[in-house]
Amino acid sequence: MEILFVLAAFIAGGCIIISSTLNAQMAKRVGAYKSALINNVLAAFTALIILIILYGGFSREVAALKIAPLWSLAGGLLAVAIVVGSNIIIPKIPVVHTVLFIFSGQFLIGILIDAINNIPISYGKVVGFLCIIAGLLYNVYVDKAESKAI
Amino acid sequence: MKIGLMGAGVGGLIALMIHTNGTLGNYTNVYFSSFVVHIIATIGVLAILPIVKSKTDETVELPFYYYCGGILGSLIIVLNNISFKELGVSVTVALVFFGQVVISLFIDSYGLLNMKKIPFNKRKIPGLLLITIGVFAMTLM
Repeated sequence: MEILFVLAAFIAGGCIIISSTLNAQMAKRVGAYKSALINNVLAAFTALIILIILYGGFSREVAALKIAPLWSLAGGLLAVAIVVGSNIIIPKIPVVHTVLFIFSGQFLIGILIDAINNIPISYGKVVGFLCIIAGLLYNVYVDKAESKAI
Repeated sequence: MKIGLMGAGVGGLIALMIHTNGTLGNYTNVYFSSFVVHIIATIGVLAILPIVKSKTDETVELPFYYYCGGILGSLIIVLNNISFKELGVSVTVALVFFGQVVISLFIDSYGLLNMKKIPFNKRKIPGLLLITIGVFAMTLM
């Protein structure tokens, strides 16, 4: 049974990349901002359908919005910058490099946020991160050497 | 390298967004949080759309499903949420990342989804091994 949950997480990762790549390709035709607009409209609509299927409505949640801190709504603005940024980056470099660069920034800011919230960082996380960065830089170097050879 | 730094910047923003969306999700629920965030993002893009200029190319022909990335975007949250409850945060995050690396290698190697084809190079295997070890270290240690 557990393998299903493993598979779900793995597929989620794959879908993130497919979704971002589709958006970035669409951005070539309609521009990075319009592509982000279409992406967000469809995502909002899909989230609404899921919300209605799973929860039947959202009156309690709307009421809870009043007590949620204002900064917790900032994700909306961050989402714009993230989608537009990805739309610009993805067509320019191999997708796997995009994944790893984004991951590096995400990890570094992630531990910063954890530190601010007093969540300790494990030894394994630091070691793992350094391995991932070393692997990434090595492969970027292989690609560079290869393109020079051609 | 400039593109690499930009990528890391986007990653940093993603980490911030996970934090803000997570907080909003605690007050409401993850799907409502996602809905609200995308509505605000829609309004945000609509507001800046008249000001910004971006490069467009009408000659690029795309099948209709290229416009449907946003649907996947919301379905991901469901998948994430399912495994998250059973496997915990760090294992889920590592597996999601692993899925990203595998699928992106696949897209690059075969030039899928209109991307430039970069045939798989055996010399990259040591780098990939390091990345895999890193994912395991992050999850298990």
